[in-house]
Amino acid sequence: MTQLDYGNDREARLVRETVQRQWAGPYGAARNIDPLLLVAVAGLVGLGLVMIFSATHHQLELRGADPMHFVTRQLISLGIGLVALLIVAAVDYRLFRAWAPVIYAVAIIMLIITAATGTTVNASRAWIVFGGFQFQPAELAKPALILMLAALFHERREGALGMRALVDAVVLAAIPTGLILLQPDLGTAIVFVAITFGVLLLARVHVRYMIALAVIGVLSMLGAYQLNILQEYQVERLTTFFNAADADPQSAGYNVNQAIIAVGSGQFSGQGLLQGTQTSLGYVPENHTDFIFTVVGEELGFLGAALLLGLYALLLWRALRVAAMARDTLGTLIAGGVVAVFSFQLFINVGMAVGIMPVTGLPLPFVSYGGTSLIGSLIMIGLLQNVHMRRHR
Amino acid sequence: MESTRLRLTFLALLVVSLFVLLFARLWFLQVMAGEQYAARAEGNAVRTVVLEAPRGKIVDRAGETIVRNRYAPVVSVQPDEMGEQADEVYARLSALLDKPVEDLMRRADSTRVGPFRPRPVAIDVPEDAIAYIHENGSSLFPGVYAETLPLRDYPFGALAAHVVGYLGEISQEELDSERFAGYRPGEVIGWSGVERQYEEVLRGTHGRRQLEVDPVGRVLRDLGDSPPVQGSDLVLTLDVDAQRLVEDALAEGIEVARTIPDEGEGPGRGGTFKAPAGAAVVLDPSNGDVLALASHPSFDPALFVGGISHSAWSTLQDPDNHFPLINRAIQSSYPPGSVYKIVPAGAALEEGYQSPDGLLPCPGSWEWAGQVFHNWERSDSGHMDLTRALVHSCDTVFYELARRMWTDEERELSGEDMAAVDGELPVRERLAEHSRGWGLGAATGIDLPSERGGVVPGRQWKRSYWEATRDIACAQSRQAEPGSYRRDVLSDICEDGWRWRGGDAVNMSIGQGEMQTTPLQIANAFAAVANRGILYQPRVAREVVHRDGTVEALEPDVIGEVPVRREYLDYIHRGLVGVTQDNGTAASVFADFEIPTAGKTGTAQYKPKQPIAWYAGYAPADDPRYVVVAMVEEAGGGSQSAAPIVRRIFEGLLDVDKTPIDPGEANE
Repeated sequence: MTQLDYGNDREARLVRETVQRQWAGPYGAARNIDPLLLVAVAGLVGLGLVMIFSATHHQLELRGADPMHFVTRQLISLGIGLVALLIVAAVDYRLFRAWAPVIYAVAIIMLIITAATGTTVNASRAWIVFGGFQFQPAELAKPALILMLAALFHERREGALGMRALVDAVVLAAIPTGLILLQPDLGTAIVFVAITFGVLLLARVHVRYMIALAVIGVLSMLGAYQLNILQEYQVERLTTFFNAADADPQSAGYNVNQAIIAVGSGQFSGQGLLQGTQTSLGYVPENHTDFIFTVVGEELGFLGAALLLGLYALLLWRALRVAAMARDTLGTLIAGGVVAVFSFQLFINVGMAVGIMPVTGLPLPFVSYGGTSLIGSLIMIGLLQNVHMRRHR
Repeated sequence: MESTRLRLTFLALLVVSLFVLLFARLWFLQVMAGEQYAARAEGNAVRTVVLEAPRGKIVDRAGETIVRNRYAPVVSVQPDEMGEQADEVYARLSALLDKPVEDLMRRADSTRVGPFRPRPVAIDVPEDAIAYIHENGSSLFPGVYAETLPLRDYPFGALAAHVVGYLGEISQEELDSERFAGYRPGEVIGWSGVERQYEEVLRGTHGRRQLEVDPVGRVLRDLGDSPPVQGSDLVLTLDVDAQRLVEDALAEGIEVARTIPDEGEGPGRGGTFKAPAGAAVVLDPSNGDVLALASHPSFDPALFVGGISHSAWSTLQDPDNHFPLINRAIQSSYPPGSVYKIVPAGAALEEGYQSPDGLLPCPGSWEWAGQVFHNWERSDSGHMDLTRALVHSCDTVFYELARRMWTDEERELSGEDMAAVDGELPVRERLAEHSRGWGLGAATGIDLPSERGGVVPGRQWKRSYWEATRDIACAQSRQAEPGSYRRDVLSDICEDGWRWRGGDAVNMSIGQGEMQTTPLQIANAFAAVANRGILYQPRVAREVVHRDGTVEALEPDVIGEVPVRREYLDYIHRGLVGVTQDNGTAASVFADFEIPTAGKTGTAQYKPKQPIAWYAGYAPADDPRYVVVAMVEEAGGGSQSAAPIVRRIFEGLLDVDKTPIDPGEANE
């Protein structure tokens, strides 16, 4: 293709871009957004709102609270997220390249603050309160790391990608990953590993380096286990997964057991919206956040689950298409990182709800209740649209 | 850029494979195994509380209620659920119910109900105590249940206990069996009597209330209930008045028998008769209806209500108390003695061994192949026909008939090696065949559980008995002192015990030897004489009244006809009438009875115990309405101990003035 030619002719490119911008105006690119991508996101968010209502209204009514409580809060986050999406999409992503180190640094600082002073939820310190809002910096650090790594490899896109670039990338990824492990939030930390893997893959890092990295990664995981860095509940969750037969149905394996029962009981066409007993009676804990897929499975059945996976397939197809059509390496890498986040979280989240993945506590992007996750996910959609809109020379 | 393309394709393939994996898993969980998970989800969320249905009533033929239900407030405990607070809980219960702690704990420990049911510790608890337990259940009384339960109630007390039976908790084997499919652990079912036989009729349909609960067990919603439906009522053939008459007569007759001196000689004899137990049956000869059925000693079925206590149970199981739970009319078999003689009499006539007016000698003793058999009457009574042989119960007449039949059978068998015969015998065993024709040797099929069939011995029976026991006999013969009588007998049994000898046939002809019958079988055989040939299947239930008021009649069944033609039955009947008159064996009891009756005494030797007393009769003789059998264990002669009981029963049934139960003369 010809992107490489452009890269070789920096002066000419800058001139050309300036002319183009003047010609098209600052919003000209908006005509080139990907509508199918937005359809997939709208479908997922809509489905998510219905499922959150179904999962929470019954318990809220029992407590005499507003049954729309969680839905309302999610809608507020949706509004904020959409604004963020617009902003992120509007600013030419090539500007982000210059600002990437700053964005990255801000994310790291927030993670440090979180680790030092954050609020503890479910034994992990993942939240900070800022101006009356509670949020999870880790969710926002995902796009920050994607931008930083994409920018790094964009700079080094020419010539052989030597050890140096690799080490830089690993160090850049390891800092937020380590900070998140300190919270400790194993699941999110592994998402950062997936982002790194995705970017390294598309940045054409040599396969043998990646294999070597994978080996080191596995070894360090085992080391972490040996050194008791993992919290007891995490170890218990993981060992429960690998020894499911021994697990006491009333303890560690309980969530998984009830989740599988919920999903299985949906059968082909589901128990019907708001009709799932596993859901409404609270047999599956956290079923508006990490276990939201069980609500889909129980109430909408295989058909509903297929709809959700279909929407995700549409989203990921469009994201891969963005990566393939991007005008430059930066765009490809950004899109690749986003694909890595969504596909990995989808697989881990649904996988744990159906019992083929250990319980790691990751939200299902767009669907799970959780403001920061939704906003962060929408920001990443903004990045995709950004790259897509500006795919033409 | 080719490399980037390739890697994008790789990434895309990776994503596709993740989707394939998830879809495959979802297909398995939701479509292939979905039903199973749906059931588990329902099991999670729905608790079913079973509402116990009251059982149907049991009434007598006139509608008198023998068994009904009452709703009683019951306090039960489930010790497992009390946890460490058990002592305090018992202390609070004790104060509330005004019963000592020890009593409550003993009842909780000793009540024989399974682990699935709370154990009742107090029945008929005051309402305010129940309310107090309900209000403070979870805090003060964990593991304590206060509920109103339908309990069996017996307005006539222990009357007809063996017929109605009692209730108990279903056992694991029963739960596994086909009959009790659909029963739950802890359910109370009929354990004996019609309660068991008609379990399905009486049980009713349990109701259920379904409650939706959350994971901590809080009830969120009542999903509705289906009310319990009481079981159908059962109308018995029994008549409570006749039943009470028979039970009283049997009990009184047994008391009287215990005063009679035993003049017999030998081990176990002497003193007065022990008469520990007995049975009496009243049948309607026109249809096999059981009008009364008594077994002594008896028990109170109310003991089993709410679970029988250990002490009551061990009393019932103590051998010194002679096992009152056994229904001796159908669940024990005894040698019938001379009441059996109607069978060889019929066989001799029907098989042509004796003509109605032919005479046979009745000597005091009778010898065959060097063996001497005695009559009760040691002097020679001259020649007599079969009628008089029945009247006097002359054993030697029947010995002679048995000898003739046995001799013919052996001749037919000659050349056949019995030891080599498998399957059907190559000979007609006349007496055994006739016995079976009279309904002996097989359960009558009465609608009560655990009926015994008794034994009709014969060549095959002897051989299989020998095969089962020869090893013991052979071992014992080797241990016996060489040259002793005992050794001779045992080695004979060991070598030749399979052989059906003439002596066996002779013993069998007077209802001795290996012959075993139940009192009900004897009653049924005499009913066949009374009605001239029809062997009905006796029954204790005649109708089922369903809850919607429809009545389902249970039709009487006929087992068959006895293998004796009517004129010979008339002939036998005349003999049985003679028994009660002039110088018949029961004349001392019935001679002054204003209504003519027919009957037969029996005195079955059962060494080393005292003889079993039998009397089987029917009345009025010319238009029989009642067949009555009385049997008393270890009570001497039938005329002494059993016939007076039957007379008292006839008096009651036929509305004749009652006379005291006096011992009759010993005469057979």
